Amino acid sequence: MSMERFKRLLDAYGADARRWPEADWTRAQSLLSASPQARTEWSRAAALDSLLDHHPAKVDDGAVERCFDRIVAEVDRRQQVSVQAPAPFMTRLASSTAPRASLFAVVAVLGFLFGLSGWGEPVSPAAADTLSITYGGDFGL
Amino acid sequence: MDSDDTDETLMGRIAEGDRGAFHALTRRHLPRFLRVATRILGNASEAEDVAQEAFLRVWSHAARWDGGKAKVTTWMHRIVVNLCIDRQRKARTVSLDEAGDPVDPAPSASDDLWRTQMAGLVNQAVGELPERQRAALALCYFEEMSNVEAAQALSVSVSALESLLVRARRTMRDRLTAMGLKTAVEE
Repeated sequence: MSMERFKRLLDAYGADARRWPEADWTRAQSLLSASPQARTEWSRAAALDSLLDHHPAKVDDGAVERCFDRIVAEVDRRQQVSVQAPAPFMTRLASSTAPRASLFAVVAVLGFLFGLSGWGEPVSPAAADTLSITYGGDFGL
Repeated sequence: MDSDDTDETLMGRIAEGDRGAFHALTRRHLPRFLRVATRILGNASEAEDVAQEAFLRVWSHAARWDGGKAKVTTWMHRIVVNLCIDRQRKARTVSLDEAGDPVDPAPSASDDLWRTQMAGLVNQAVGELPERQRAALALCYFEEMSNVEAAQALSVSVSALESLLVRARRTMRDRLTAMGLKTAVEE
């Protein structure tokens, strides 16, 4: 590993081996053992590390719990809104299998009764040639 | 919910609307992402807002996660980082006055006070970094993510990540030195 590459990696990852790419750290060790300049650069990076380690990022348990509760409440609220939101009648009708089947049955029955009623049979002379088939039996209605 | 479930398993269930899985994933990772957001934003209250929004996006967009492209945590880091950067860009006001005067870096009678002051200075210097440098430092240095994962979370190449880190650390060294802190060993 060249000194230039070593210094760049030190500048990027600091002096702690845990933060280095493993393969690079293995190569850096031989440079460190052979080069006083490399050791000086390493110590310089370690000094900056020790300052950065003062960066505060303590997150207390209360903040975590508060945040968790907010997240859960918001998810619950969104779910309730999506469940309670009334869908348009036709959309609901079209999106559900049971109402569609019911609608089909109602239309079929109405159509059948409409046929029995005789309403719509040809009455004009012009329509006399029209073949009509009507059922004259008793449906027991 | 089995606490041994992997993140990937939980994500699959969340995509199907399993709230128990969502609670388990949130419990597992919320402290970490709250910490990352705090490091990037430097503000606990804003970090809570970002963490909340991030997890709500996980809930809403779980089906978009592609296990072949990124680990769950990498994907979540990307969400948090992007939310933090967006927030910072919208309201970028850095008050240099809030940090006070540089302090004597030598430990005084009160080590606690010294540490508090030191933390304040480092926090100020980190807060003045550009957003992406700050995010790179938070992920790679403070959270000790691998360079590959951190690069994925930031949507950059590993080489670009290293450049962000180099610029961040060099800037930090200059600023902390200017504040009177010793950033080099005695020759």
